[in-house]
Amino acid sequence: MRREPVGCDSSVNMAVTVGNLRMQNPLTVASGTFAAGREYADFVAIAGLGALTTKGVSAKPWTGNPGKRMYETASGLLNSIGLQNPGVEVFCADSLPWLAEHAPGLPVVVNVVGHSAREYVDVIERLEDEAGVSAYELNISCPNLDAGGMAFGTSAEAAAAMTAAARAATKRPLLVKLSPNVTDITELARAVEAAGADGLSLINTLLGLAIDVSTRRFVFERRVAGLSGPAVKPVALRMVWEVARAVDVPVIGMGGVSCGEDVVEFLLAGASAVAFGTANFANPRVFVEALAWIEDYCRAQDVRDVNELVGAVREVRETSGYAKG
Amino acid sequence: MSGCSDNVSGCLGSMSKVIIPARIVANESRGGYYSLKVCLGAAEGELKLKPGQFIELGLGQSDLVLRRPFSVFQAKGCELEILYQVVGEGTRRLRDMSMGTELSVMGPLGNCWPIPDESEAAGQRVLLLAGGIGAAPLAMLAEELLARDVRVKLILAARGRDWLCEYEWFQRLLPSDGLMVATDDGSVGVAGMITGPLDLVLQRDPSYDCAYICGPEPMMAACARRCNEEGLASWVSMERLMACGVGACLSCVAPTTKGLQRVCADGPVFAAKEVMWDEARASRVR
Ligand SMILES: Cc1cc2nc3c(=O)[nH]c(=O)nc-3n(C[C@H](O)[C@H](O)[C@H](O)COP(=O)(O)OP(=O)(O)OC[C@H]3O[C@@H](n4cnc5c(N)ncnc54)[C@H](O)[C@@H]3O)c2cc1C
Ligand SMILES: Cc1cc2nc3c(=O)[nH]c(=O)nc-3n(C[C@H](O)[C@H](O)[C@H](O)COP(=O)(O)O)c2cc1C
Ligand code: FES
Repeated sequence: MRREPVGCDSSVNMAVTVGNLRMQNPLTVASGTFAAGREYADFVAIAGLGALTTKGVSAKPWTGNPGKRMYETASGLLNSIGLQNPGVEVFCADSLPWLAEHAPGLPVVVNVVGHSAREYVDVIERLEDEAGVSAYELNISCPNLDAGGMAFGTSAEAAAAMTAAARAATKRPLLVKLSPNVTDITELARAVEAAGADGLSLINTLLGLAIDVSTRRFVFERRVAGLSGPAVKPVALRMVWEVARAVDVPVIGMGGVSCGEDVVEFLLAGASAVAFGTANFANPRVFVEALAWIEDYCRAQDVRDVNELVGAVREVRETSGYAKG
Repeated sequence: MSGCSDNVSGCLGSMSKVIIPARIVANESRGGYYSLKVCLGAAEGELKLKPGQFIELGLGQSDLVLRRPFSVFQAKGCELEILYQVVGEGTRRLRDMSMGTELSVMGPLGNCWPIPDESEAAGQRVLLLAGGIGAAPLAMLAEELLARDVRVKLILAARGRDWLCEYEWFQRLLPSDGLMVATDDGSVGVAGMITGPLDLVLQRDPSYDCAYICGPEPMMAACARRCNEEGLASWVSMERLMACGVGACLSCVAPTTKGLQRVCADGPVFAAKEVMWDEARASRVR
């Protein structure tokens, strides 16, 4: 699409705030798909993001899962990475200085993981005095762990307790990332909100399974794995819409988002910000292209402030100019 | 080992990675394989590849969410050639694409084969061991080595005649005593696996400077073991399922004596003695 030069009257406010997290635009990346930005710096100016969300960071180094870790499915992929990461000390020594040098001013949201409440809090306490961190995203929803991860995110009591423990450890904006692998995601959302979360991000991956028929074996050693990509988008959008109506805190939407149009859909459903995950793999420049598309969309729709779109989905039967005819 | 640098990471990060639109200029069968030639969009700047590096090819199919990794067989100016085997949906659709179709190339990715320094290369002798389509990433290596007056002996192995990858091309490139062939069905060269002629070569003369190996993982493991027994340093190019191709997602890790290494970013080339072959079986592609 051809871009018009941005004049005074055609400029669209793209800045949003999620809790106390100020973002120059509503776009971020989904944890684990963008590392801490460095690997993508050749392709795209990462400072153009609204915020950068890091890969899960644990108190001690984690080796991740054995066996195959990825399997492509129709319009999606299953992953079983198991949160391999070098731990918070290496994160502080390597990733934060790199980000400070190459993307100063870019808000950094650290995705926090652990096997126990203590381990989550240890990560936050270690990071609390690091200037380069803007917010935390508690990952209580990773399906690729036996202990921790999703185990905390599928019971409202456990999720609330974890949130409260993290809340007590930080003054920074605290986001909690929810699992879609529950009967009623709004129950979890309300529990976490009541325990002090400043915002919610959703969805993490959907629990899936793959079998190799030639060997009759499970593809993954842990058997189940996490599904992401366009295949999950309608499920994610439905959950974002449900949660956004159920809570007062802002929601960061994700799950299969692949273009500007998808972003707008999530905004209309009630998300205040939106993350690109699996889509980065095929196109690391996707957020830049989406940003341009969204600005054009706003101009075409006579929207001066992107925040006007948040939750602005219209009812099916709302009378419109067309319906009257 | 005297010449082949022990430092594989010497070429890491030397060239910045780009994403370039690429138009198909040829797509034809070559025996059991296919050859794809693409012309890279010039405005985006040149793609400078070193032997052993690979690309991630975007097929422009919205239901296939990932690019496909391929070695580069030849890179001349704006033209890039890959050799591919049809194994699944992506390569099936690629085979059916016609001239002019727009694809997307992301690269150069990964490290490269370590090559002896110009000052000490001349007169060195190396072995190239190729299984099936594994010959593809060895072609530019062979050219580069010959340009440095390294004496190259290639053992080309495959199931049968049709799967001897670029046999004629290698025949033209190498002197007649520089090429040996093994086929499982005996249709060309020695009948049986590559380790047959390899043992013969090593028995006759174990004093090569190093070996470069690419092929199915069991073949690489077997060749690396033979080389190791003769005290011959060897390099292998590994394959793993890849999502990002740039080192961000940790999908593609392989177990090595240095810990888990990302095949897309720390590899694909590894010192064979560092790969933990038994542990690696669990994460093999097939
Ligand atoms: C560094 C590297 C270099 C390669 N070079 C070549 C080459 O020069 N020529 C060639 O024919 N093949 C090469 N391959 C293998 C090639 O990537 C796969 O054959 C191809 O991705 C199969 O895609 P598909 O959709 O047809 O198969 P499907 O089996 O349908 O693919 C499903 C998924 O698995 C992945 N996949 C399947 N097989 C492999 C594999 N062997 N390695 C990695 N991912 C795989 C696909 O990318 C896709 O994401 C290379 C792989 C790597 C990692
Ligand atoms: C390879 C991979 C690694 C991931 N790692 C993490 C992680 O470390 N922490 C986390 O909270 N979510 C992780 N996720 C989940 C994503 O952040 C995201 O919630 C999910 O993939 C849905 O978005 P998408 O469909 O756009 O990818 C990972 C997803 C993928 C595909
Ligand atoms: S494929 Fe993502 S790290 Fe190698």
